[in-house]
Amino acid sequence: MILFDKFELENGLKVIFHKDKTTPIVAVNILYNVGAKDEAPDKTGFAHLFEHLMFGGSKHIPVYDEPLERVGGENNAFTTNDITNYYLTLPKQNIETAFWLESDRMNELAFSLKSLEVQRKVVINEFKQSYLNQPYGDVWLLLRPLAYKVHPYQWNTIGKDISHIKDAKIKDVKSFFKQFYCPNNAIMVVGGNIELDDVKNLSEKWFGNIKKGDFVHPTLTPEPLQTEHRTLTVKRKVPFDAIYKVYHMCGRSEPNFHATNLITDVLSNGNSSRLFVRLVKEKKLFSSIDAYHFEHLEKGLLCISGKLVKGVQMNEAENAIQEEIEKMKNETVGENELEKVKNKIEAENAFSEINILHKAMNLAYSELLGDAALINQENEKYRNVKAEDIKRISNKILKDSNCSTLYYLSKK
Amino acid sequence: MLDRKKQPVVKEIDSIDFILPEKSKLDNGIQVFSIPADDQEVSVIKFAFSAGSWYQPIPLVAWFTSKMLREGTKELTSLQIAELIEFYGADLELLCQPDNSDITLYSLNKHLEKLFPVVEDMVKHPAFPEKELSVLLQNNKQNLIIQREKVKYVARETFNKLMFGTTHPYSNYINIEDYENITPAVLSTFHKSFYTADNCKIIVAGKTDKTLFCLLNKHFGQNDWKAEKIIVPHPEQFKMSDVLKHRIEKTDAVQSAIRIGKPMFNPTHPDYIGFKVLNTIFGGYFGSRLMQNIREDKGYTYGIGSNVETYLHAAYFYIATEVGVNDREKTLDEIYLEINRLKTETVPEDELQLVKNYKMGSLLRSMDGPFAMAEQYCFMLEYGLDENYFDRCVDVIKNISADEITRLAQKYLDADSMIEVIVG
Repeated sequence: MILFDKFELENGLKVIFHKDKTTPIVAVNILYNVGAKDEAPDKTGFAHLFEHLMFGGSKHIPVYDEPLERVGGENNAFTTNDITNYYLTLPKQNIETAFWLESDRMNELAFSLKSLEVQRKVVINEFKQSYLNQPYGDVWLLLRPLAYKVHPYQWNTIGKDISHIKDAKIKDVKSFFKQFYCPNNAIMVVGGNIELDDVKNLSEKWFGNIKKGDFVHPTLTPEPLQTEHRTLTVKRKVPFDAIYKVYHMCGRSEPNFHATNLITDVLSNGNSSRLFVRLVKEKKLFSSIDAYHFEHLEKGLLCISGKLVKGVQMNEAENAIQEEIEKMKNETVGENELEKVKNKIEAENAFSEINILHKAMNLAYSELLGDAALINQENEKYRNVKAEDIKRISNKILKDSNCSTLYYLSKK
Repeated sequence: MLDRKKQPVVKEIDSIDFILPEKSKLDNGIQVFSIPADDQEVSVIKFAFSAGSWYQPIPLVAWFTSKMLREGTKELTSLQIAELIEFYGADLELLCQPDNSDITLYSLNKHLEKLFPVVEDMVKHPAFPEKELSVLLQNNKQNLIIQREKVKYVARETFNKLMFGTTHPYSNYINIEDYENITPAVLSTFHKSFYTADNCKIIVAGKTDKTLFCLLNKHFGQNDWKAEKIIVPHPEQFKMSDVLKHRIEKTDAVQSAIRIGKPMFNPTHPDYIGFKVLNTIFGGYFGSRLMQNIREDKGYTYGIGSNVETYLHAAYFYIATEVGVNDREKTLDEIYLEINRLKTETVPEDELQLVKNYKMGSLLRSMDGPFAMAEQYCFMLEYGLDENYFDRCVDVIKNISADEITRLAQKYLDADSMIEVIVG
């Protein structure tokens, strides 16, 4: 049970405070409700590039990291298709530095040309390192646009193409900031061994005079219903063939989400999971296989992917996956198996409560979903999932007409 | 009037609370170290064995012995083991490292008692079934082939080869033919020799009460799993390659991996803590010389850093990064420039103070809570460090002088003697 207090400043900044007496560290997590899906289709990669620029100095503070390091703090950030999340931890006696830093860069960035030039290069390096220079690295650059024809989830956070990052101009970056980086589009969580009054006072002192932004979240065109199986075959310089199958699924806040998550757990969470036992151990068709999903706010993707054992034919491998899918659709998950996946979730949740930063992040995300209190309702929601729900949703989404398949073949 | 230009008052971290574990012994002499975590519903129990790759007769034995522990016992099949552990939502991690091989149980406290029998069975009576072994060998081999497509992996492999030679256990170099030599018999012998009570230490964080101690004693504290003393032939002192520079071209690579380094010392050496401070300045945090120059100023890379990799019987210092293929030479120049700067220019007081504060913060974070402290204690145990070690860390961090940093740089950062590997 994670207890917390919540309040909102006049400018719309939501602040959540979780008291934790057991740690000398304070965690501060600021979630901005902007991600790759909010980008223009010809200017992709901006939310992520922007995340880098947030460290290039704000109006009154030339460098972000240095003052934080000076107080024994550490920080990082990440961007997804939905959000940009900044987080830091520091000794509690220096908590005010966190408020000073975060409020100044929420207020106004320095926008130096040098910063843009350097971070452009850094991001291009990241693009190359993560997506182009790794075996199987470009899978999602291929698969997203296959699954999404209309919705902005069709491009990755790194961007559709390196050229978008190369061509990014300072004025585009400034208008992106103005549109999305405002207090009424942010959720701040503070966790640690301090008092609510401290947090209220510091929030008002540092964030109080930041102006509310007057933007409206763009309404995104929903992805039209997919009506037939889509496939793409590519040949790459990789040692083994691989297959990736993605299926459209519900959004994070929809009632079917928890059951959908359990589908992936039944399929591949652990060494007693179905795909591992049957396709890796018994049939020896795959050297590795996984079922997972992208927990998108809007309708996401459930994925099944694996690397084929050398010499195995693609159609045999795919048929084996299909066989497991049919079992999910035609048979009801047994009581023991259902209990197992629920117990795993319970253990995972318990372990996530050890660390103050994890708690802060989860509180921020829960608030984004509508209410920070959701964080304490997860176990119950999973416990309430019935075997029939899993079967029903399997039938709904695990069908060819809802599927895009990438055949990633080894160029011999 | 709010002055946004001025940083709020910076307060130092005066001290760090490091709770030493309670010590006890099982009936058969196994040492147990426990740190209570009363507020949490979970426990982490680590069985640490001196059964890492240092002790193996031929390559891959230690690793496969470790992984095969979950693949079947006399009583249970691989699937039954997995089902039992996973039914209770628990995770049993098998981690084979160069010196230690750890078996770590992560579980909700309410299920611990039900898990002990299967963990005991896995530790004491693994069966090493041929069928499961062949699947594991084949899939691991396949994974190795994939890893060798990554410039970063090849750079590390090549570097280790040059540092230690191909036959030294710390080089961990694998020839594809090595997989042929891994049989149930070889693994079983290794297990009997090294997964024994007198080779085991237990570290617990969580619900460390009498009930747990009784469970540990019942399942692991009896005399049924001692072994004869095994004499392990010590590998020769490793001989670093005479050829220090090594380039491997990879067609179509858009990035090159760079790895530079040399032998160093492990935490038992008196200069270790001081050198770690030097390392932080050089390449151990975001504000480091390497990051600020090569990433933040020049934009050559997404990330660059340095560290000391330590083992019981050896250690090395290394610098690693991936850069655009066209920026390789320029990156090398900057790396050597930064090494030289540390040797010839005194670190400014302001920067040194910042690094001191940063490191204190790091230390504070690494001690945050019973689970983190248990991890730190494992580190101390592994190297036989005395219980004042972390107090000494605090002392060195707070008091080290800029001159001492220069002295350490001059003594240990000899660029001419460093291995340099570029892949891609």
